[in-house]
Amino acid sequence: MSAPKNELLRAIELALAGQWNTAHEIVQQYEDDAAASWIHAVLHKMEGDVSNSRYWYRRAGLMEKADAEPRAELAAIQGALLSQ
Amino acid sequence: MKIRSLAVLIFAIGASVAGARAQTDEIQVYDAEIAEPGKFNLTLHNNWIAEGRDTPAFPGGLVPDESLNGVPEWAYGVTDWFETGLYFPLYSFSKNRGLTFNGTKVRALFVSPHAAERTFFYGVNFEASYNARHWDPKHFTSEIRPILGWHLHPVDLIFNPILDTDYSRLENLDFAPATRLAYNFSPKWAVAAEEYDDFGPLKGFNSWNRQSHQLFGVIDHHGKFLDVEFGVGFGLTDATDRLTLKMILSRDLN
Repeated sequence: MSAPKNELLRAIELALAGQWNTAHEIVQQYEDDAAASWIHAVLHKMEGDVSNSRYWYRRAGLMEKADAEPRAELAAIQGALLSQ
Repeated sequence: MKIRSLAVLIFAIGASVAGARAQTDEIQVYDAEIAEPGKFNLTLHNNWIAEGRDTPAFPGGLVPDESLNGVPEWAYGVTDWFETGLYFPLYSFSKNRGLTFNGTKVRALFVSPHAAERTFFYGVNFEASYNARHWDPKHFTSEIRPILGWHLHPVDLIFNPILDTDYSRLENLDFAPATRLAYNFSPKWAVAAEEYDDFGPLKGFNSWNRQSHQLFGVIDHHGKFLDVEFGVGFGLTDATDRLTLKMILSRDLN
């Protein structure tokens, strides 16, 4: 299922505000969406679950982003979504 | 005739001291992660026995010492809980026989879906092999590989209590477990200790010196285009090759 842009932006805002669980619940609904998978990967990186994070980076096809700092990465995803 | 009998006797003693386990094409612990549905995945296995046994594990077999053994593994994700695979061609380059084709294998791997997301994950792999005579004394063999694992972030503990069979008797099932303890530094990097054992038949394990025990130090890198696993393995018994290097390269094809 394709993820609505406003839902993904909300997930990012929640993650940046420290509301990890709510952000995670949102992206979990859109497992087949590449942008949702990317945010999902960053969320697991934030909590230190790196093997899970690896799984979602792979699903998003963005393994090269895996070393980025999580908050800066969320800001970059936010920027990319807003510019679409 | 006497000389020939003596030679056979010496070989038999040597082979029994060395143990019955031949070299292998695949040195990997299964972690229940499979290709996404509809994805093809190619994994290249290559193992170099830098310092190994000087005699084949059975008459007509390959000399393990300084041999290269490998296989391309072609996998396809059917569902999120089922992956099928073909190993073709198994090959070796050995001192006594040069380049050889060793056979082929097919497998069916059933897992708990999205294993990476679970704290406890599990699965089972069924593998059927056709072996050339120089690779295994039996043309047809099989492997049953249960998978049990825990993601204890950032540590992974995975156990594959493997049973090998040559389709003879049930009590001849051979217990050859594989274990992996990994530390994930980041989504891209992990280090691990892996132990590969062969205790012998379930009906009665071999004596320690005839068992195979090999301890590997492993480093994993997960990249955009390729996953790489490199390991150095040390034999812990007389029946195990002393030094083995393994390299596993893997990527999705579509």
